[in-house]
Amino acid sequence: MVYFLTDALVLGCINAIMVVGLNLQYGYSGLLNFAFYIYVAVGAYIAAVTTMGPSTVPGITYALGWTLPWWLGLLLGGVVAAVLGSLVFLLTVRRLRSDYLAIVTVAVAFIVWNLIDTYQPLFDGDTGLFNVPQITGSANISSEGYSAIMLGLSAALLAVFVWLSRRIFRSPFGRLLRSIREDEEVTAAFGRVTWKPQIAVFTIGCFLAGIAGGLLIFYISAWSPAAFLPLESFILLAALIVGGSGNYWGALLGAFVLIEALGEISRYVPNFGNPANVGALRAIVIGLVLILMLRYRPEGIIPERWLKWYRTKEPASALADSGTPAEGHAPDVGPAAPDRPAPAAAAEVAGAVGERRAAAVAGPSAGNVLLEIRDVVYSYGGARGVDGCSFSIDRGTVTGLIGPNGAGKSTLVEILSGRLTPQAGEIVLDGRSVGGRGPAGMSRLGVARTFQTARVLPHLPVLENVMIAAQAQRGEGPLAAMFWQRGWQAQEAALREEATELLGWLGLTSHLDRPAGSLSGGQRRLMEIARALMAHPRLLLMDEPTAGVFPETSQLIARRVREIAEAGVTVLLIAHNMAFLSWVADEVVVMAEGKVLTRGPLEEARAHKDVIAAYLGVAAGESRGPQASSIGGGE
Amino acid sequence: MSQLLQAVGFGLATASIVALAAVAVSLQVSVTNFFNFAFGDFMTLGAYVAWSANRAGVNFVLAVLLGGVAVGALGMLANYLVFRPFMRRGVRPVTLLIAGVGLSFVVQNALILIWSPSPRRFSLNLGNAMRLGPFLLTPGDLVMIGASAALLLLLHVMLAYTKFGKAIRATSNNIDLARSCGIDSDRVISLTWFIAGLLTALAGVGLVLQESTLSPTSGFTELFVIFGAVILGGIGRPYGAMLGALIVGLLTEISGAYVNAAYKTSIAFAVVVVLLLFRPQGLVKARGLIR
Repeated sequence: MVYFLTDALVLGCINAIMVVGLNLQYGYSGLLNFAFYIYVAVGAYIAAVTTMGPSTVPGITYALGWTLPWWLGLLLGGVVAAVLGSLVFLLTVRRLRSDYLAIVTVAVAFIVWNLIDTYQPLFDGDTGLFNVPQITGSANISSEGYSAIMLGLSAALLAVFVWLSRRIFRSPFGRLLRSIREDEEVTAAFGRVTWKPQIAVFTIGCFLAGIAGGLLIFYISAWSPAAFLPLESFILLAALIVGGSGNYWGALLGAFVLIEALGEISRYVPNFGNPANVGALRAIVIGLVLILMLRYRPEGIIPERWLKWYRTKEPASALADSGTPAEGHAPDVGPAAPDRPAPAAAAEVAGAVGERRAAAVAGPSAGNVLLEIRDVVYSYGGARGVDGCSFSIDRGTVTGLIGPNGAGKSTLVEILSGRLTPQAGEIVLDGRSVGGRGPAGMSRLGVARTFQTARVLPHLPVLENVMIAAQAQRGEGPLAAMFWQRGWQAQEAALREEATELLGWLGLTSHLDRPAGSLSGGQRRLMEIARALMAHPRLLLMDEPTAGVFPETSQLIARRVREIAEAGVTVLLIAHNMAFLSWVADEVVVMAEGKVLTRGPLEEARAHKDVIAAYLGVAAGESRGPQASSIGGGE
Repeated sequence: MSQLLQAVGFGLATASIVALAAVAVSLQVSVTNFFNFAFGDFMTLGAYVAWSANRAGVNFVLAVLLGGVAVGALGMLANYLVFRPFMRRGVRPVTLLIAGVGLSFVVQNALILIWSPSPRRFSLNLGNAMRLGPFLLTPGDLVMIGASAALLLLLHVMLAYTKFGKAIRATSNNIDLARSCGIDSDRVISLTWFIAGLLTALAGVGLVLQESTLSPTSGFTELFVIFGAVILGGIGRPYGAMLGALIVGLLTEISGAYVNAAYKTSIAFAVVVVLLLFRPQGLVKARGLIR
């Protein structure tokens, strides 16, 4: 009975290492690897053939036969699996959409499987390997004793891996991975190159797979291609999803309950008909449980949000009152309301911007113009979006971008944010030509943005949504995350404090720990502003910050935008709400048909006859040219 | 040279089967925008139903048709019970893929429970192989190529000229817009699952006849060859899928003629993966259903 239990526990621990590894890939970073078990197999083969002696049995062939010590073989197995994983990643994951990726990983896995199965000299083909040496060497030991030793080893390794994945979870690296999983584009818009952290975590996951494979082969001492069919990978994935993907406790629960316990229970189901029936029944149960869980509890038995991702040392109440209005209620912060003293966060924003400005002053151009757009052109296929647009923006001003639908406003913002590359013309930021640098590049130059429809990272707490935007964070690499916590813990506390203050300043204090997906439309817009400020931008782009927002929240946004500008950040915003514009904008730029129609104070621009014409679609004056007059028809 | 041409002949026969399957996948993907991971098991089910009916004395053509109806019904059921609730909730495409894995577990193992895991012999002897120009083909191959071509032509006529085809195209192009134009897109999707199911079963029977054996994993083992053809052709483009199937079919058989036949699927996969790296959008750019 004791032997039976230790035996089940050894296999449970080994499976758990696999699921913890898969959790790093799928749970933490959303990389769906349908071929995880291939890396387990590679680890097993490498561990076996490097520790076994040269083949002596006639007819049995396999490469190597180095008789290395077991621990070196185990490590090599992990390393080879990791290297293979990173190669596959570089070839495929970087280029393909997530659902193609899953299919391609299977294709690659099949090639590896096929090669091992067919090419005999490598690992003895479909016969497989036998008599892999035990880690105790030639010492005479009972099978009970051996399984106790293996239990100690695999449980210790499992503990180490769980501990490391906990460290990753709590680190800036873990946050970055989650952010990529939730929305790659938003993460890129805040200056991150998304494939680098992904390849790192994919490789670590494959390393764990390889180690688990090595442990498995040292325990069961035989291995063949029949042991790693696609089914195995799917069972691991099912275990992770049922247990709770993204949560290492969930991974453990899934491994022990869904794989081991279900396996043990199915031993007690009496055989009926064909001997394969019990196994088939078990697979049907797994399949049904998987579908039902996905449908009714997609976050698994132990959801990711149950994990505490930071230590609460400082009393939260001290910060709780720094914000002005609470969410939802109508805050009395119209533009006419008396200004309350700006909280520390605003001062901090001002301070950060001050530093940047000082740097800019020392730089080549110290003029008053921050951004200059020169003859920029962008067309979608045949339809022109921006068609020779030119204007410039002064530092510390709020410029409203208005114009009828299809005028090219959003296209221009996408160009400035780096998502689109201008086909002609030039963007000059602080005296430097910056067109075509991509979202990450523009972010690093100090351009932050909000989106036309607010984009949040739905499953992450609001606080993390904001913290992700901070630039140049330490601890975003895997090694620092796991082994150099001291390098980033102080920074984490500071970032958390700054994010908390910014969110309080925008009235979101009571939502810090709520998943951002549960925020209302207006709250999302406020959160996006906090997120953009967290990047300490010098240019803030806002695409319709008040669309679909309560008038009261609009007023709050207006007030905050003014304060942001007073702190020295230059703001360019698209808006349709004239009242909002009259509160915030120093100047408006009116666009129509991809060009600048006019610019100036809002009242003047509104009175301009071309502007009226553009909005009403009536040709007025000769400046519009023949095309426009034909639209106007019977003038 | 004659070896190459002969391989081309086999390749055409394989391609005609893969094409049916790939078009079925492509049709379903075009309106639902996700890959049904249980597709291979759907093919196997079609083959089993046809085999059982045929053995019980039902005329072969009728038996295949029965298999088609069974798979079509299963497709509609899977859509209704498993996939549609997820699509309504607007989940990530990856979730639907994983739900498909769950469904594959269920269907494949239900096949084991019903028909036992032991392989069955399923063949249709229409006569010996004949020489046709440079090709060496059995009458069975010819029937398969002919049936496949006829069905694909029929599908084309349906998509291009009927009102229902237009509704499928509209749903595939923009489901919200289609809905607001009064197209009952739920019904369109449901019927598409049924039509795809008919093709799926036929492909399953063709596949099994080519190998002469039928087992609960017959379809699953071919799943990725078919997905490869679909992706290669450009997702959601039935004509692209035909092209993808032709390439995959020829690759498999031609490489099988020159290197160890055990590697033929691997070589096809490798070529598909490499081609995808250079054209991630597929050979025919994925967009609407028909240009």
